[in-house]
Amino acid sequence: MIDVELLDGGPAAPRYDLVSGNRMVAEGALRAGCRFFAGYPIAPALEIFRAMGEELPLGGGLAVSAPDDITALQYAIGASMAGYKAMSATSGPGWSLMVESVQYALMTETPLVVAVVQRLGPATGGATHGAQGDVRLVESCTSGGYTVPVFAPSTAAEAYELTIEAFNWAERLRMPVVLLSDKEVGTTTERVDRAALAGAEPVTRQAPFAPVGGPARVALTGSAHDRAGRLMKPAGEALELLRELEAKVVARAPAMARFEYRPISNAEVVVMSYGVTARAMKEACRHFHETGRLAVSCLKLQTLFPVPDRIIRHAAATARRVLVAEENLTGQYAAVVESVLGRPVERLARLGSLITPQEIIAAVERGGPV
Amino acid sequence: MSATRPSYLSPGAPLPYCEGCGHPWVLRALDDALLALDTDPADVAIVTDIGCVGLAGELLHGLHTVHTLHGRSPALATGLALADGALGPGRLKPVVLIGDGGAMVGIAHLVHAALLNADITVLVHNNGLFGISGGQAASLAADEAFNLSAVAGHFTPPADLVRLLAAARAGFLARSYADDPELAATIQAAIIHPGFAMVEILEYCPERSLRQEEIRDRRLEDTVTARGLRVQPQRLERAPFVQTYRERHGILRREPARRPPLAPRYEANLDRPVAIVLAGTAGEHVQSAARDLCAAAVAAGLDCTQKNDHPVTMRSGYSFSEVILSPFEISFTGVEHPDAIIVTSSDGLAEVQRRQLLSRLAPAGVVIADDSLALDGARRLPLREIAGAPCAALAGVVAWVAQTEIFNVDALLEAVRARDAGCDIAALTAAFASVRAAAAAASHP
Repeated sequence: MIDVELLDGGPAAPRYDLVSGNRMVAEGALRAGCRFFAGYPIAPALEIFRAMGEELPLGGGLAVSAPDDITALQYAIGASMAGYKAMSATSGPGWSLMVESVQYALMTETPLVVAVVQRLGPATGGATHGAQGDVRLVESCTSGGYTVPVFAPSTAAEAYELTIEAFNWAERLRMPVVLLSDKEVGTTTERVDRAALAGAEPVTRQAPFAPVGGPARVALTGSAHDRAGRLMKPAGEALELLRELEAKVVARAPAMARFEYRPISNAEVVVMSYGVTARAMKEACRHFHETGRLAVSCLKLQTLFPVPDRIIRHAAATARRVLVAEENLTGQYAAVVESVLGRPVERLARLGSLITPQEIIAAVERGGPV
Repeated sequence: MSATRPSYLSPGAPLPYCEGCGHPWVLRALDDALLALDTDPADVAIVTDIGCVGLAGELLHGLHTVHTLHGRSPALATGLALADGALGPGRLKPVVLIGDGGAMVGIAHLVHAALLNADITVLVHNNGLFGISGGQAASLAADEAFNLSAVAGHFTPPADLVRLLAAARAGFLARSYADDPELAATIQAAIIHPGFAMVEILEYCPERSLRQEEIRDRRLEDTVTARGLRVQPQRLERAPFVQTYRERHGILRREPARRPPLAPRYEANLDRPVAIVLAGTAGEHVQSAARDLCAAAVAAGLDCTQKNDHPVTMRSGYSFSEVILSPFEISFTGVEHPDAIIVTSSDGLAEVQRRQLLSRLAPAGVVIADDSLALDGARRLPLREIAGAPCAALAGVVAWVAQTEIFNVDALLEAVRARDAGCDIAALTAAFASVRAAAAAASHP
């Protein structure tokens, strides 16, 4: 079909769809080349499951319903080992069950993407109530403290882009990667111009990845092993491999760092946030820019782990104060930022409802106790 | 074993199991079965569970081996089989080697694999206890004869795995014992079977279940025979997963309904964000009306966000939507002070009151309510009467557009038509005209 607008020489007029972040996670996964989805239904991640169930068969992929969250992730791991990009989607309670399998994927170096759409916890918590309380639960899920890459979208468009990013890093690093969304980003419908989406080129799975069932004999184990995949008492080569599991992530941390940062000269305060709260932060920053009341810069983090420490240090370098805003009880990411900066930061951390731009403005103006 | 005999097991090397253990017998039977099948080794994946059985992967050479978490081997093998069957060449034969402890851990995996009829073969090495960890009683003991000395006692009757999986419509089921001369043939038949197959293999654990002299005195076969534990292969004819999937694929392979994208082509008369709350009764298309409002706003060049809420039951109680319209990009999606509240039923009103929205109404905000509701200060209109219950929220949106003139009502009606909402467009248009006339009269007294 000929696009009249393009023939006219002008840019194509935007064409919008009303879509949710969950929907765009599914579309990002499809764009990234996901062929297999195993799901167990859980709010507020339901629409990812539904969209994958609708869309995957159209492209010859397979979406399968599992009898529980653990089975879902095991199916996805099996499919990935067989050579196909695979994912699942869940929320805090389901993630809790999946943790064992996530560690197994990490140990067997199996590429895998899990979308975790946060809801209020702990336990069953509030099934349809938003929160950003799973940051540490997701990041600290391994015995040994290995870094599990975590990307956090704050809009539907970012959900698309970061899902592709998650798949690409899962392939490059051969490990599980988490797309950490939340109820608000996941289920709120917003305007998206699909033609304007900026997703990275998908990384294709190819040799030296050897699938189970392929011509090269594959040996995989979740126990300590040597390079040939043979069980081994944790010493020598087996320990070396354990160190490599972490080193391969750390070495790529700078390349994995995704963020939005608009520096303000002589910023007195830098506000940092992620996920849905970054949207309130954006309005608060707009307020300060427009009113000129205070020099405030804002850093939106899209990569949470590996910690994008360079940009965090850079943004905080000249600012007298650092404020981290997030929707959880204790300031889970503020603690991470503190450890990077080696000094206390101010926390705007609470749960129950969205943190508003006004609250952030007030916290910046007030200068809270550290 | 002769050094020249082909085998997946190391020729001549002893298997690292206790004397009297059944595991080596099973491995040799599996080796014989695979050799008899003359299959391409690349098409076999040995998936081992935790326990002594987990050593098996390293003893079988030239095959793919995956050593899993405890109890998860049937699920991982199912993932391999589903993906290879539906997305790949469909040649892969995962063979799961699992103990009875692991089988109970992964009982849901086994049941679901059986229900799916995934093409996997599961060999359950059942010695009635946890051997590697000290002889604690397991739940799937076929008979108390196998776990006489269970640590911390044994208080449950034997569970029958064959019957459990028969109830899950497993395609191939058998119960045998480790030194059964027929075991290789049974395993071979299980692997050939196109779909889920489980062979339960009874064993003694010489280290944990009985003292050595007792094992010498008690042949496994005698115990199995005396207690009637043997189950000859039983088959249930069912299509394997891949076949079912391909058949249903035709049904699944249906384009979901897609709404065409919206190209801005109407004008909007709005210089700041406004928030509209819609509240009514579940099943009365409140959220669809909010969606129409959003679609109309986008067609009028505005940005829009929509958040829905309802009780867990979905089809009873309230239905609720928050919509923000803005001439510039919306960042924060929360609604603190709504500019409009549209209420169509008492369910909706109760929710509006629970959220204390009336007291948070923005200055110059409006409340549009069905006239059945006693609500002071509201613009009360016969919304339910005008348009019927399923279109009452939409009638409220029409009234709000008429009152505010933020965009042409045609943008809204177009969205309603695109949704094929089944609402009476003429009635909505008439309602629009009437509200518009009243608003005009009010502004020019």
